[in-house]
Amino acid sequence: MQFFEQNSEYLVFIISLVIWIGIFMFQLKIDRNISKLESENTKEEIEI
Amino acid sequence: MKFFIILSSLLIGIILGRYNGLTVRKSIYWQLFVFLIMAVNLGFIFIPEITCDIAAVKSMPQYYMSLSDFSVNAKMNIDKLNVNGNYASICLVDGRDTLTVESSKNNFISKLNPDNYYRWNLSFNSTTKGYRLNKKPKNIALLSYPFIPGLGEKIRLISFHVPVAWVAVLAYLLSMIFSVSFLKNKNIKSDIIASEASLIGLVFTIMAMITGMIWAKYNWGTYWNWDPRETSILILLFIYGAYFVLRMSVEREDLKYKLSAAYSIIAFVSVPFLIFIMPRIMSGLHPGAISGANSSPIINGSGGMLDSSLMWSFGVSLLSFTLFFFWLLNIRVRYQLLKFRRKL
Repeated sequence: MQFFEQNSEYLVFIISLVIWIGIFMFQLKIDRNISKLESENTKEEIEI
Repeated sequence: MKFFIILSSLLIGIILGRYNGLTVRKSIYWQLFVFLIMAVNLGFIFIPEITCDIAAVKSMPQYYMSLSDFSVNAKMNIDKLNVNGNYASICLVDGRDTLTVESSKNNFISKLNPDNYYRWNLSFNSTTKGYRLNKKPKNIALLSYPFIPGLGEKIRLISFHVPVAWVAVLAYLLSMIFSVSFLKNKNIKSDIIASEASLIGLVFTIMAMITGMIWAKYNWGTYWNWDPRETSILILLFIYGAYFVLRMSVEREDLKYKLSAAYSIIAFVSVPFLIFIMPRIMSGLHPGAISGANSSPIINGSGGMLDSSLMWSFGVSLLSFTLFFFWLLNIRVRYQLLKFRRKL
């Protein structure tokens, strides 16, 4: 904790990194869901 | 060098962003690369310290010095060291310049090598008109930002605010290109890419506006000053806001696509004027305005804030935001294409 008291810029960096990881994971999840829907759609089109 | 780094990071961003197309899923390695480059960008924004030399400290008005902490790269003159109990008066040397600093602790002095340069984090005491040491001196950093009077720590905002605004312009340009493509080929994919690029461009414009407002609050006193740059970005927001009003108000699908494509092309004509020309031909507070010390042409080859380690941070930031934009665009376009196929 003393390190972060002396180097507050690292604390800000870690907080921003956690926010970015959250945004990245959210994007990744949406990307995978769309990918799943795309493959389902392709299957349906082939069946038709 | 500055121009080369900025241009190459923008070009690499566009090439990597368009790699594999805009309608096909990006590979996991591409996504991980975007994650890593943005993490590096955040490191570049937050970790480097604001550092200057003693000559710069002495040339600064005391008003600016009292506003924020700053770091000085200098070594200690052991002959002029004055220790009295816990209190120490340290003479810093940097070439021919010297600066006397007061410190309430002195247990670190014996560990310092008088031949080495260190980073001394200082603050100016406006009552005693002296400089005070805030923390133990650290080794010289590989990357540091210059101390700009009046900006201090706010200089970090440049690496977020400017790339976001540039990516917004890139988004509007892409929207215009795909609108032309739609009018030529009547391919629905082009219309979807054009409208989604405009939407993300609008979000990036709002982000640029919000960060600009934060900057304005702490530098100019208020969030909104009706500066030409602020006014031009607001007009741009209204122009592209109207694009979506137009898309939502026309019910006939074919007419909607044609009208919005034509509108997007006309709207882009205003972008170079509102972003690059208008703020430079009118007097204002924003850097680049015609009056004051901030005036500069669009392509500025002369020295400035970016002629330092800040330009590397700016380049990485531009690359990471460009790639992030292309990832967002890829997801939005694929989602809209799915919706369109389900409708058929």
